[in-house]
Amino acid sequence: MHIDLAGIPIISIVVFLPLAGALLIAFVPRRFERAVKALALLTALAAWVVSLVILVAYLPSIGGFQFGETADWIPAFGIQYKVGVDGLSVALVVLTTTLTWISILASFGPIKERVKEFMISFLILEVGMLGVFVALDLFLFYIFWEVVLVPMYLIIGIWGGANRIYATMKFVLYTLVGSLLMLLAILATAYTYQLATGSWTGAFDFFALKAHGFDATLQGFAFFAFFLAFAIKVPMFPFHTWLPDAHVQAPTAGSVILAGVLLKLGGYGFIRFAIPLYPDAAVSFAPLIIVLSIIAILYGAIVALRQPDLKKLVAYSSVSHMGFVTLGIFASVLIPVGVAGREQGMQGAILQMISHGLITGALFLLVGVIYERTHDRAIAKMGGLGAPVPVYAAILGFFVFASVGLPGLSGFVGEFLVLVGSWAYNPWVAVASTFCMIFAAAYLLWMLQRVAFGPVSEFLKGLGHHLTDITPVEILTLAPLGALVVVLGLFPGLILGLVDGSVRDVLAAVHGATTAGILR
Amino acid sequence: MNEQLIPLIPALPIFGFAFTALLGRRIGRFAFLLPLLLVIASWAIAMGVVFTQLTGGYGADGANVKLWEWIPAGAFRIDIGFHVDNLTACLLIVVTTIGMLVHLYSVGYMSHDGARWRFFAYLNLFMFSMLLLVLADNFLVVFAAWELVGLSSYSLIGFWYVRPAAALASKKAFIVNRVGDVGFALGLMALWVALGTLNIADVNARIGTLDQPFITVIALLLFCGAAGKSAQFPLHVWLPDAMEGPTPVSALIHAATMVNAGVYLVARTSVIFAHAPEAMVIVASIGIFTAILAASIAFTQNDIKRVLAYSTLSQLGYMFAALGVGAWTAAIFHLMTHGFFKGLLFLGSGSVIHAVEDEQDMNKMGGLRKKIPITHATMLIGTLALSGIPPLAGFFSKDAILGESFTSGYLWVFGIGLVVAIMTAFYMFRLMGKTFYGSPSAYVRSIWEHIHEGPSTMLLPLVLLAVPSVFIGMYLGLPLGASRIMDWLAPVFAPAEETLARTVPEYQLFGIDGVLIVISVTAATLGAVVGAWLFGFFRTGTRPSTVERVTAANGVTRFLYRASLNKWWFDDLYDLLFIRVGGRLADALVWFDVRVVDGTVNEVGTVVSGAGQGLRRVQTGRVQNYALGIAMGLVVMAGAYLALAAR
Repeated sequence: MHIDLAGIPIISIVVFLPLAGALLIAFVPRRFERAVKALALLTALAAWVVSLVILVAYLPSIGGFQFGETADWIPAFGIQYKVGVDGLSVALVVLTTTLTWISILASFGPIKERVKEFMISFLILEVGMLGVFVALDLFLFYIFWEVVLVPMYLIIGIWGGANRIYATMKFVLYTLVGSLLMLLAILATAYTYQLATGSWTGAFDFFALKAHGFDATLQGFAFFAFFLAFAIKVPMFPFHTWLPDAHVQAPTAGSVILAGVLLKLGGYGFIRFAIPLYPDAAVSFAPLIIVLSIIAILYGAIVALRQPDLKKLVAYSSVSHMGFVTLGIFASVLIPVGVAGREQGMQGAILQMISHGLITGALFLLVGVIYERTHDRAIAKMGGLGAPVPVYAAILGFFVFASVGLPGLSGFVGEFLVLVGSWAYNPWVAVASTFCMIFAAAYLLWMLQRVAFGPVSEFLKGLGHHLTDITPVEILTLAPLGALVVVLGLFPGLILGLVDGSVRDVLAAVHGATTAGILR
Repeated sequence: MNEQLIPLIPALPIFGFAFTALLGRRIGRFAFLLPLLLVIASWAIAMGVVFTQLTGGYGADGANVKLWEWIPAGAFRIDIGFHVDNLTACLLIVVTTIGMLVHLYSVGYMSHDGARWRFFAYLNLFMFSMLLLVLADNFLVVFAAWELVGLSSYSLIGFWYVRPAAALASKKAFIVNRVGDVGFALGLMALWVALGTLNIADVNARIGTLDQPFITVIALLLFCGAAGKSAQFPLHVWLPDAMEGPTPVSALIHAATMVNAGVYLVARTSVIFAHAPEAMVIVASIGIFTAILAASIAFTQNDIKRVLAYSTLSQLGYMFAALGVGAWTAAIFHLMTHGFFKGLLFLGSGSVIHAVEDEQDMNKMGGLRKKIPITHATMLIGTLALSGIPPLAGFFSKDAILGESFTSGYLWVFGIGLVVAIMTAFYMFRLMGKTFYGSPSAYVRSIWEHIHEGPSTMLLPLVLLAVPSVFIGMYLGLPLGASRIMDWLAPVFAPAEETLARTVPEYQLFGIDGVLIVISVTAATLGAVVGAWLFGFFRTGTRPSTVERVTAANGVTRFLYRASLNKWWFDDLYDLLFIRVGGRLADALVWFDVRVVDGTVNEVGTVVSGAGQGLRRVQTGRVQNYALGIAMGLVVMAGAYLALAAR
């Protein structure tokens, strides 16, 4: 089946559809709360459908960027409205639209105050996220990058928990430090380009910059700035401490998007911009990033063991799982051309991004479900959920095992490919990272044991009939994620085939790697 | 049997799992029917496939079926495909037959449990995983099945999840298994990066192109996985705890099938090991050490299932010892016979536990043979088979292991193995004596009237397993030295034998091999007679207080007794190392995270906002001050310009 979208600005449609929805909602009086909710959900579903059309219409066999749109924006500096998608973008766009409608649906119950503002924020958040994944002009990319920040700031700061102001300030300031440095790097890159070519034309254009190439000094500075911005977003050790705070305070939907999409912005940034634009610097920085990734993988898992709060536990598990993403990306960067495992690391990293978005999104939804009933997330107070809420416990068990990396579910293939890549780079890196298999099983299964098994805790008994099993609407939010986790676990080729070309394009830009320093 | 039907063997049970897991609660009491029927169908197809394969119906290459390409990641390509050769056929016989009988047995055993549907769903999931494991033609699919087997084992050990001990044991099993799986996974990475394939046949064909030290590393990594799943020292600690699961689970998973996966893996990769003689010595050492370690613990345990669990460890140790000395056929032979008689013994113990109202402590049993004669008779057959008394099944396979260890020059394996044989017979007769003989305990007397055999669905599997426990050794192992099992497995292990290039002496029934048979039978009889004599086979009345006599003898026996009773303190050691010390380490990292990493971030924040507070004073609102600032700034900039221009 092929859909011809020639002449239709399909990318702009999917990006700005949520904005249109948000504007529409702004005109609905706030007393029509159900209309607001319905409109928000319909908008998100419409964006989802459009993204699926893009997914079907994108032709991996041709590869490269498709459905491109270009328009002058600030011609004096060569800044353009330039968007387009390759396989990687398509995958992340679909992930974003999927998680957005699920989050909005999941917010219907928990969000009771300022529903209208919440829905508007959420839809604007979606615009920012989608924009980041499709922008091919560095200035435009930066704008979308910052657009994401504002609604998330509001979502945590207004609809969050008791300590929400501290958490949201920390989140915004931390991210801003990174992104302002990135802006500086973007400007420096454009300026250098203008000096070299004598014209601003193309100074912010991804393709023009990539083709131009830069000297070592600029690459070093710019890559470092990009690295900081993306490392904070991923988040890599030691820039991760905003994440547990933000997750604990954020409302459920905020956590889902934070873990499901926002963390992926960092991984995407590395693959799309930092490595192709500054390949030599990427090679020099890669060993450092790999070391930080290994630390994140093991450290995140060990610290997760000791977390007393369900959300914090999942947050630290994200640090650990996202460590595989950066590990895979930069192991691939360092593996010389022609050595087995070069592409697999980055392919695994992308698969891991998608899979982590689905699984961790679901885990946060599940924490939200139990929080709705108990108004608590302390693991110590739970216990024996299996007996009073068996369906909930079964679904929790399913996603816990998905997170453990059980083969047949989506988490396994990505992690294994990353590990294959890291073995090809240096077996000791693989050895260290593979130990995460044990730690992941330990902290997740211990959590499951304390939450779902054993006799019913006094705290839960005290809730009496308030402790009801999962509702059909809640199942509706989890079912698509569960289905995708199974489908991608059995047919990871659906993603791998999509992103194969993107990975090859990125790695084609990296020549600098030599066999030196590689253990054989 | 058409080879296109092979995928149905694992597909039927996974369908049963999915269906029952989703709808079983609604169906209720009869939800067990579909899983049961599907497993019977799967058994029937498997038997057809096995028969066709063993009679050469699939040709020299065996049967091959490819389903779909699972992972297409550039050059990293993994197919979901099945391969049946004679080794797989042997495993299929054990897995599907015992699996089917355990399903049948569970209908009665779990009839009082409201969640029987869930139990059958898990059993079907297990059957799928285990069948996938033995059928897969690719190492990564084997690994996937390996993990899925771990999941099913986790679910079934923790089936009664309300019990904290069950929840704890299931987690322990999964995590300890994962320790081994780390090695397995690393081995696969090494194989793929070096050879560019994980197809089992291709790997076995090309492994010889690698450096010998590298092959040794790969072999040892694979053995890590095998040692985890088959509960070999030092990863043996999960299996005894796994007895928290319902007894049919212990029979199926933790005796007859899953724990054999490690043996299967090493046998499947015999070529890799044949290229790595050092690795084989390690395999043999770990195997025989586990055999004697576990046997020594089984001496003093009083939980009937735990005795059997340690016995399983010990027998698996035998199999690894056999694999290590290159007696691959003997290892698989013992795997098959052991599967049947150990499955029988576990189901028998379940029947005992069922009869005495869920009591597992043998000190609270005694004299039961009059009340449950069928259980007694079948368990006695199992005990004789396990002890290695001819002509029952265990005799042939155990003798094959001991004999081949001796003739291939591994005298230490033979010597220790012989001691283990004595111990095995002893603790099994101790178990039988304490359970069925002597006079009934006070507890048994108090429930005497209620003690009865289980329903026919429980007795039938016992009888059906007793048959192979008696005859399968003779069927597969005769004539000695040129038996059916050797015919079957010779082509499978031919490449490994070729690599090892050793000369195997002709079998001499009236020479060395005959002498070895006499020695091993004497050893087994010795252990059996002492055990039977000490534990009340030949008397009624008060039970002998063996424990007091042993511990009172002297300091050495007292120490040995305590060591055995406390399982040589391995659980305590691991608790100290991984729970206490590891926990402290985790606490230290949490402190580091909060105080140092996050502390620095917050400190930076404080400094910045402090600086803001300070700088606020500059904003005085007086124009003169600003003018001064501008003037000073101009001076500095002009100075800087002049300085730069002058260069």
